[in-house]
Amino acid sequence: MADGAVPRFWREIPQRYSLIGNQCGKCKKIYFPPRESCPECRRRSIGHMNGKKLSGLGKIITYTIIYEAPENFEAYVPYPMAIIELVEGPRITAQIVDCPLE
Amino acid sequence: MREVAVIGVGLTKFGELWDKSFRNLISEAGAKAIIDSGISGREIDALYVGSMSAGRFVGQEHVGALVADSSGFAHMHIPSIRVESADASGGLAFRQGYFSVASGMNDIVVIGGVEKMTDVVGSEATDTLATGLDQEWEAFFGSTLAGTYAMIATRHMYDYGTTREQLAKVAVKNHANGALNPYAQFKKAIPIESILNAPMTAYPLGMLDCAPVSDGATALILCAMEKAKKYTDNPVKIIGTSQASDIFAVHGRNNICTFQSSVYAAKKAYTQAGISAEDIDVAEVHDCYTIAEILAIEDLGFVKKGEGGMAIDNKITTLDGKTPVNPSGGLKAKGHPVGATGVAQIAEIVFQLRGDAEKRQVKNAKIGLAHNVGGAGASCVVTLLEAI
Ligand SMILES: [Zn+2]
Repeated sequence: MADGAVPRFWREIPQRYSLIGNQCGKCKKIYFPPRESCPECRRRSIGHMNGKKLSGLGKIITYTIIYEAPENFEAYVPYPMAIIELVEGPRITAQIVDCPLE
Repeated sequence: MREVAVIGVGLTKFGELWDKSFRNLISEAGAKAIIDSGISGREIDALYVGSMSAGRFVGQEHVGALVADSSGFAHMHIPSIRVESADASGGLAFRQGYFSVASGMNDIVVIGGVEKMTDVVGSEATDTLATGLDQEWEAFFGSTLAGTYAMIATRHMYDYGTTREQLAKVAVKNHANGALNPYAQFKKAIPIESILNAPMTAYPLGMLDCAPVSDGATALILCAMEKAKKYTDNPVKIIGTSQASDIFAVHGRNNICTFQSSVYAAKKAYTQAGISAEDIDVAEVHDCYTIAEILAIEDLGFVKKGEGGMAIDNKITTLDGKTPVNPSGGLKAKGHPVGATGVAQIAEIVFQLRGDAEKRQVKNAKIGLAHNVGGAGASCVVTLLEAI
């Protein structure tokens, strides 16, 4: 996964690093990662999904500390991962940085 | 739709089988199942094979045709279908084969499940198991399948007071059962201290909370019930089969402590069979991690949500408990060759319902359940079987 030139990885760069999701213009629900259509409104949402920058603030729903890592992360063990609920609603899986390990 | 029975079972040993290749394994299991059933190879109408990731584990795709040839059926030119749903591939292959017989298209089919996982190093196996997660939004950031289940465990402990010891007791029980199973990878009871003191994989799950990396294969023969008596006196009838899906990434689910795919698949299967969770005499559930068995017994309705940990303390799921779970040793002790697992679970239920489970036999088992999960619950297959 290390090769950043592979399109399947640079394609998502704006969303991944700038936390840009989208919002259904019909029911106003916010999604991250952005979706092509809203699972609640389905066909009525097509063409009404609008980009939405997220604040990056949220609360931790749960966490773990990874000791057995995928190949590309073996150098970083142990490292914490968490599921975070962003203030706008969507949840993400992310690595927690700048945090002591307990 | 007509009734369908399982009339033959074949398993390889599970474990680190250095001297056996992918094709050796599935051919061995298939041959044993055919001999067990008493059919002749010429009567087989089709093959269905579950394999999660032969491409990554052994560099081989086109698994359906390969299995047909290595099992000696190439000259018969019968159809052979590979089925994939991460580690629910085996259960789903069974379900597809069932449809083909129930519909009347086929009379006799072979269901196989196979994985050869130990040809790659540990971190490569970790990467491949993580392909059952969302590669772009979970695995990309460094999460693993164990990490995802660990996050579920952390939350289950927070919401319901489940303890580290209760998780460990799942492994103690399954290793005790595995010690009675000649096919198991680990035929040895393990004390709780060893499980609690094992090196961490992903907090709060230690190495012995995780199912091992395994090689192995299993095969079953399915036959239309109206013809089954011709071959065997103890066919096992399929009384329910269902599959369900859920939001792909675990973080996208409202409640991460339940697999809605398990809940829905179980409900649909119970309805089809006209039974409830109370009627299950024996179950093989998908304990890829200790927390997964606690989720499973809750989601399948054996106990209420949140009471899975207590159920372990109260020995509800031991061999002589109210609802014995994983008499084979489960994925934890029997081994978890991912594509084979779903088929192997059904094989154990067939042994139990035929009364062939020897030292691990559950008394008076008439109705059994097999529960096979893909990834971290984005897919699930539930199968119900009955002794007749
Ligand atoms: Zn909407």
